Amino acid sequence: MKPLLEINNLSTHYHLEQGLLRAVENVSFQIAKGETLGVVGESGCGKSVTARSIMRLLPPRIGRIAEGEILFNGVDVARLDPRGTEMRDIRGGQIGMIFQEPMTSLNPVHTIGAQIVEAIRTHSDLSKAEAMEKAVMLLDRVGINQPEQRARQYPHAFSGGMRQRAMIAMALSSDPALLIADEPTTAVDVTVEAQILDLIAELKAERDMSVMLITHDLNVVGEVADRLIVMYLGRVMETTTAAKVFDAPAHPYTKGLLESLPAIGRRSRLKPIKGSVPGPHERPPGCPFAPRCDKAMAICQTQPPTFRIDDDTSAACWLYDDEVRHDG
Amino acid sequence: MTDDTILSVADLSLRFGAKPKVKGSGLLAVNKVSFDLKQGETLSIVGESGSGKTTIGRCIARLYAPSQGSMVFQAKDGPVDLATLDKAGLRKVRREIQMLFQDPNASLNSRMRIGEIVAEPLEIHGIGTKAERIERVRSLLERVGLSADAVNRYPHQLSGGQRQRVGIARALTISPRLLICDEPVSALDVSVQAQVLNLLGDLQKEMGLTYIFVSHDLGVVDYISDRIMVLYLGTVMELATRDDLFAAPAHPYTRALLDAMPARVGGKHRKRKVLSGEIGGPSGLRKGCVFAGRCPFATDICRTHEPELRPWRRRPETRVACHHADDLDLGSYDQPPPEPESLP
Repeated sequence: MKPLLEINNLSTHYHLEQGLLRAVENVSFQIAKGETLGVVGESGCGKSVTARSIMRLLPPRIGRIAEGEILFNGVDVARLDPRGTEMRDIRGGQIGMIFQEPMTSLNPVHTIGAQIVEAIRTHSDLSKAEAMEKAVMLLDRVGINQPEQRARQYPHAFSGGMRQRAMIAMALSSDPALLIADEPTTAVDVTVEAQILDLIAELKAERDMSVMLITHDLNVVGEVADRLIVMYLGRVMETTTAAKVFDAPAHPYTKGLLESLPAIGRRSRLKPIKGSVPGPHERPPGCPFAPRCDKAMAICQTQPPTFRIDDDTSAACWLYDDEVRHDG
Repeated sequence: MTDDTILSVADLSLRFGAKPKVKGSGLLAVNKVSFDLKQGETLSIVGESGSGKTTIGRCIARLYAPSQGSMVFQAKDGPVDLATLDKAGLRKVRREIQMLFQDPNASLNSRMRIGEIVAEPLEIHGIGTKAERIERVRSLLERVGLSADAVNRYPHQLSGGQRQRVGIARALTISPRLLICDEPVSALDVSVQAQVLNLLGDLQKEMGLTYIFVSHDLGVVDYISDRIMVLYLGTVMELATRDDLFAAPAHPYTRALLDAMPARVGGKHRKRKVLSGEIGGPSGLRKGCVFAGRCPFATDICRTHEPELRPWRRRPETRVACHHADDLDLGSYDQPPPEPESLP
């Protein structure tokens, strides 16, 4: 079966005053219909830029897709005009998106209902009244009590968790085939986080929707994702499954992340990765993780290709090269 | 209060924006909080946003003046009540109590060089000669893992983790005894967060520091704490040793927090249990237990009478504010309660 989303060798560059920033370099992954893919990484790894590339929401004149294709339902989104009808039909229509901080993505001077109605009418021929009816239904579905009254309220009257629910309702208003969730729970409390993740999982199951979940939190991925990619400085370091990543991480970076993670019941000393993520204009040559990697070798000065480890795992690391293994 | 108690907080309350003569007006951020802190220990304060955990830390540092209660601190020159201390007294005691903030971008002056930032507390308190100060700054920066050339840099030239190291060095220049850490690793990347947590642990051992550690992340708290205080709407729900809190939570809210945490049990992620509703507002007059509205065990008494914080029958070292705690077995963090969830 063809995947719903297939990204091949995507590179997205930002042309900044300080020079060229390779925010995303040669990234490839797929999302099947009904699948949840986690995209994990620390700040500056390019996970949000990848999402913005898919949505064609890069800052005009600065951000540019330099190379690669983004096949969504067979259409190469990378070649579409970001302002054209086809792209507008996909953005917010076939692909919905929710962001980390719902307050900055909701308009404070319009009611929640009006904003959902606008989203619905952008992508359908429903009348205002019909759209409002659908908006109330969606608010009810995402777990907002008294949805009729709530639809008439402004964002400031909503709590953080309710705003995120309203954002989800808006993203679902066009029945998208793919939902991109960019750190949807980072700004909310842990009890609310559990509620939101539950809601996304339920909605995904009942609509057979695909989800791309961007997060810095491996635990979140372990709970809700089927497969995941781990990104570092714009590159995919590892592609694996949520079932495998905790017990058998392949890339030294993934291992480092896991050993840095405090978890309840963990009593052994944390083993942090040495150093810190370099700034956007200090990217090392070769493997971007090499300067922080305990296993770094001379060959790591050259960017490694992606090595296939088994059916569902691959890693961009020279440790998996046959010749390197034999020599070592 | 025992001999090694460094701080004894009793009945601490803070009401923001209260109108005089209007009972229950304003916003009750901290509600009759009491606890003792032992020399050299780490006490964590956990809770969701709006629980008042940051506010308690700021009361102790006297960034806020409490409305009620006492905070007796064993200063080098003898005990003082931080709650009623005058300006001169505060200035003196702040040599012994320092704060570490969540966001090192916001708490470091962007126009000062790192060397100046770290030396400033020494200057304010008039400690040492210029040469001694320079030497002190140099050795501290080295100790927190920054290179010598950081002295001449500005905060924006450092990464988030390096900036938090500067925050730590700055807090430690005048050799305080109590450090109030307010979400010190929440803004950091996972790989750097672990470095800072280890550094804080090492410094505590070397210097005999006492920590109050404010955090929302139970994983971090489990790693760093000796004891943990669980807060809900400004009120202490439970106070227990780290091991007891996770092995035998006494309060239904603690149980709910543990259930909402991501955790791996038996090689895979367990399903999180979701606590319905959200934390309510802190304003207005209150009656009964602040958690009653979301509590699966709430009965009439919970809605009419506020429970007191008292020793728990099953583990007397744990103190819990719940009318039904003695009748509840809430399991442990990786084990759900053994019996159906209703009162016997």
